[in-house]
Amino acid sequence: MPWIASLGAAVRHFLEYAGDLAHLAWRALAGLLRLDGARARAVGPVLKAQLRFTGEQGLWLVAGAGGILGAVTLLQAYAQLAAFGPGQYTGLLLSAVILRELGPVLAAVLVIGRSGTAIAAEFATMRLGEEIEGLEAHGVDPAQYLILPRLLGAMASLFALMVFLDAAALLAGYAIAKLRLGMPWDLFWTQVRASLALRDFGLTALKGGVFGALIALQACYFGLSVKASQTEVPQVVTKAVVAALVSVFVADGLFVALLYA
Amino acid sequence: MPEPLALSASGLRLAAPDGRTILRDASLELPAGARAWIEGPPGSGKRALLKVLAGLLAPQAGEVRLGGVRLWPGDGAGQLRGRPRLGFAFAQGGLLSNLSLRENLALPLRFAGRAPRQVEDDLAAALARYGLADQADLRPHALGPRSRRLIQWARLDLLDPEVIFLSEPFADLDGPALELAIEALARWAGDPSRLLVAAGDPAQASRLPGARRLRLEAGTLHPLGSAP
Repeated sequence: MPWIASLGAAVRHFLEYAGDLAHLAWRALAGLLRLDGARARAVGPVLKAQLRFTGEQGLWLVAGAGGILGAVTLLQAYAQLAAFGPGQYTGLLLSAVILRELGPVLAAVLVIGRSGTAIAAEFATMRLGEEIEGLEAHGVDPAQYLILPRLLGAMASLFALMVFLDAAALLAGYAIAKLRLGMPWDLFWTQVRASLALRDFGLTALKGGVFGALIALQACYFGLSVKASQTEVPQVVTKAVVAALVSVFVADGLFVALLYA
Repeated sequence: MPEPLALSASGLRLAAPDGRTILRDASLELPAGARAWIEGPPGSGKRALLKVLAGLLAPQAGEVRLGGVRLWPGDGAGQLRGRPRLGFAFAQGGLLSNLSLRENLALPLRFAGRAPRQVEDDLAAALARYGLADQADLRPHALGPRSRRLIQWARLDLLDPEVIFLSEPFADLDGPALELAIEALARWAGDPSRLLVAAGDPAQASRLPGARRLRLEAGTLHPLGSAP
């Protein structure tokens, strides 16, 4: 029965892929555990560059997107809920819709677009230029020198970007609430705080770490998978983006199912 | 004094991404301290074979052992980290494009745990020896082929590896640069503990005295005798 064979091949392919990703993560973790002073001094600048590119240079883009998301969400909600006294839902909308769900996912999507693509293309070009082999041959562990700082940089940056996106969404949301309903800051802030629980802050940190790790690992994995030709570079970048998007959405769904369902 | 290393490979099979056969049951036995010169027609897979032997490219089948450590099947050169020091002079590439020459040379030394002061002193000496001091802060793409080649030799000199792989070692070199390379090769070949494997033009084989000559053709290795 050919369909069973196809199904079996797809499952095997997925398991191999998941195993390869886990192996990559393990090698990066092992690299972290073996990081002595001399190697840390070599890896430090790579981590700093990743933090600067993913975090610092993406800050205004993410904050702008957060501001627009906060404003649009409240404008739409006020228009749709005009008959129900929409002011009372302001805090709930911002915390449940943006801070818990859309904010982290939007920040992750923007990081995939900016940094996931950059990492995949950079690694693919390095592979083709024998740069990875040049490291391996001379005792420099690529997992420690290249993958570990991308992984840590993406995790830390994405968490920071989520915080900035949430802050921008709240500020923009407050501006809309003030302009449309004349809502004072105290009432706005009381509503937001009342609709947030401590676990929401923990969940933001957790999502930042998990989404960042998924994005960086898959960008590294697909970047390193090129074989021989420059024409493969855009192909592996596309694969990295699609895989990162799917895994972030699936992980987000799992978080909701486990914590809020 | 480190124990001399032997290199053995058997049943190597490798196909290019397009399906073309590169290695078909290639085998090789090199005792400790041996020198080997691999030659073959253009496109015969000499560079790929060197990478397989150095643990940088995984074959589809076969086994490679270096000093008793099994590289393939396995993690390749990753298995050797911290054990026998490997050096590889690439025909092209092999240098990080976002680092200067100085940083490229310093990186493996730092990972090997050499003291920062020692790294600086050794770097200055190697850059001066190969005439690269005035280009030390440039990145590889800003260099000509001769300098990119010499930096590979300088890296080998700095690392002082126990096992050296050289891919097209004298290409792009002439005049004083060629003399420097020949002098370095003679120095390394004079150390009986060192294993040297080169792949390149047959006309250059005599520059590695006493090397076993092997011809790679149709994916298999054939012995040709020894270089004078």
